Amino acid sequence: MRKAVSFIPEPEAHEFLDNFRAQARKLLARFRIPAQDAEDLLQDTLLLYLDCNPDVPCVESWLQGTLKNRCLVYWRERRRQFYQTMDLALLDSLAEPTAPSQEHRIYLDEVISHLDHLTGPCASLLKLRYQSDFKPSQLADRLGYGRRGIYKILERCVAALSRRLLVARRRPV
Amino acid sequence: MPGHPSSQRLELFMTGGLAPGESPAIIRHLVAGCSECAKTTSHLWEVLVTGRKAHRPAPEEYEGAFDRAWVRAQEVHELLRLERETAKTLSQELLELPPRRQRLRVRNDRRYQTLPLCQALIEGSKSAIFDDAATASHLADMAREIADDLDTHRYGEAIVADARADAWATYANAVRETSDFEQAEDALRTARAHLEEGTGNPEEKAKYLNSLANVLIERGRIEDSFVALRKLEAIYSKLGDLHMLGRAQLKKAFALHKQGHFEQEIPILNRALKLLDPVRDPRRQVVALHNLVVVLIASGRLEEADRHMIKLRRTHAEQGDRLNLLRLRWLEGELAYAKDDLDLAERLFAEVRNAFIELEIGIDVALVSLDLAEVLWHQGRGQDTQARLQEAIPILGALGVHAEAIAAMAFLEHAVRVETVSRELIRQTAAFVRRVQSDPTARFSATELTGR
Repeated sequence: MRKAVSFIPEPEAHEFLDNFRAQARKLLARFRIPAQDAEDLLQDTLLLYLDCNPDVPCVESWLQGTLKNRCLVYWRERRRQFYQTMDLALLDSLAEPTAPSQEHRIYLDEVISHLDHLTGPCASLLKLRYQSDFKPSQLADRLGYGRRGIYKILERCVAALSRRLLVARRRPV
Repeated sequence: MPGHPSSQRLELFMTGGLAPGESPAIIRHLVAGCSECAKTTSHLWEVLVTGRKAHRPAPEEYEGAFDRAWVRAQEVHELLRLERETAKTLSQELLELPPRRQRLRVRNDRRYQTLPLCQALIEGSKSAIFDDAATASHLADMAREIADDLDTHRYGEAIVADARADAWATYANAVRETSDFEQAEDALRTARAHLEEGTGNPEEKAKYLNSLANVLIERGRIEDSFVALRKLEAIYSKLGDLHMLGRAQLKKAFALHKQGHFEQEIPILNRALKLLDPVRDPRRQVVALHNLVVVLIASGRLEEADRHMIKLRRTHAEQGDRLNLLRLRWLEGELAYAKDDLDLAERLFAEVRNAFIELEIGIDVALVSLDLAEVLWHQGRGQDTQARLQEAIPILGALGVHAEAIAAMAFLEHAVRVETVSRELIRQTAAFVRRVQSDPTARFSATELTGR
C-alpha cells in the first residue's frame, strides 16, 4: 500500500504553492504547452505530490522535475499519436481496393521510392510493412528484432518516413 | 498539382481528426511529392508534432489553469483518501466470493473500479507470489482489469497510466511464476507502453524493471537481465533505498546462479545480506542466507557454509515456516554429503523426501529423490538406489510431475539397473528435472542426458 498521506499545514502550503506557481508558469511556457492542456499536467503533478508525499529535501525542485517530465511526455505522446495515424493512413492507402490497378501500382512505386531514401534497416522494415502488410510481431520474427523492441523501431522508421513526406526539403543551391 | 487539400484538412490529418477513409486521399497527395502542401505540412510538423514552433503562451495564460488544477488535485486526493478507507473492506468482500464471481464483480460493479482497490490487489499478488503463484496471477489479473477500466478524468491520466503499468508488470511477474513466459512478455510490453505515459516517477519504473529482470532471467537471457538490473540499481541508489538495492543484488546473484558462476555469486550475496532490512522483509533475508550456503557448498567452501548454517538455522527457526524448515533440512543433507557424512545425508534426504510426499510437492519429491539416489549410489548400494527411484516414479505420476521429468527418472532407474549409471548422469537428470519446471516445452532425450 502507498504511504499514509500527511497534509501540509495551511500557511506553508500557500508559500510553497506561490513559489511553484511562478516556476510552473515559466516551465509550461518554455515547453510551449497549450493552456488548455496545461491544467491536466499540473493536476497530475500536484496530485502526485499530495498522494505520494515524497520524502525529498526540496519539494519545489521535486515538483519542477515532475512537471518537466510531464511536459516531455506530453510532446512524446503527441508524436507517437501522429506516427500511429501516419502508419495507419499509409496501410489504408495501400490497401484501397477501389483504386484501378495501374494507378495503384504507380502509387506503390512512389511509396517504395520514398522508402529507398531511408536507411537500409528502415527501408526493409517499412517495405515489409506496407508492401506485404506485416504485423509488428511478424516484422520482429522476420528481421530478427525482439518482440518487445519492434514497436519502438517501427515508430522510429515511420518518423523518418513522415519527415521525408511532410517536411519540405531545401533545394540544392 | 491539382486537388490540393486545404490547410484545415491537412491540420486535421496531422492531428488524427479526419473521418475514417479520408486520410488515404491526403496521403496519396503527399506521397506524390506536392511541394506546395509540403510548405504547409512542414509548418504543421513544427507546431503539432515537434512543438518547436507551437504558440508559446505568456506565463499569465496559465494562471487560471493552475488554480483549477490545485482545486481538482485536492478533490481527487480527498476522494482517494476515502476510497482507501473502504478498499480493505471491499477487497475482503471480493476475495470471499468464488474466483469466477470475483472477476464478474470487478468487471461489472463500479464500486470495485477504484485505484486503491487496484493497488490493494497488486500488493496482494506480490505477497502471494512466494507461496501460491496461481493466486498471485489471479489477483494481478483482476488488478489489471480494474486498472484498464479506471476513470482517467477521476484520477488523472498519468496516475492511471502508472497504476496500469504496475498492474501489468505485476501480472507479468505472476504469470512468469506459472511458466507462461509468452504471456509474461506480452504483459511487460503493455506495462512499458503505460509506463511511458505515466508520471515518470522512478519508483514506478523500478517496479517494471523488477518484473522485466525476473522474466529475462527465467528466459535465460542473463546478459539482458544484467542491463535491467543495472538500471534498477541506479534507481534505488539514487532513491537511497538500500533494502531494494539488496533485493536487486539478490536477483543478480540468482542470474549468476543460472549461469553456474557460483564464485561470483558469493560477494554479491554477502552484499545483499548487508543491504536487506530484516524488519521490512524477513523472508528475503532468509532467501539470501540460504542461497549463500547453497553456493558455498557448491564452491567447496564448507567451513564458511558451516558458519552461515548456524545463523540460517536460527533465522529459519524464528520464521517457523514449515516449508522453509524443510528446505533447511534438505540443505543440511547437502552439506553433510559434501562433507562425506553419507549416513547423515541419507537420513536427512529420506526425511525431507517423505515430508514432501506428505505435502504433495511433486517437483521437490523428484529432486530430493535424485539427491538420495546419488548418496546411495556413492555408497555402492546399487539395489537400494534402484529401489528408491522405482518407488518414486509412480508417486511423481500421482503428484502431477511433468511426464518428461518422469521419463528422465525412469531412464536413470534403467541405467542403475544395467549398471551404466554415473554421478554425472544423476546430476544431469536433476538439471533436466529443474529445467522442465521452468520450461514445460523441454523434451527428454537420452542422448542429451548421457552426452552420447
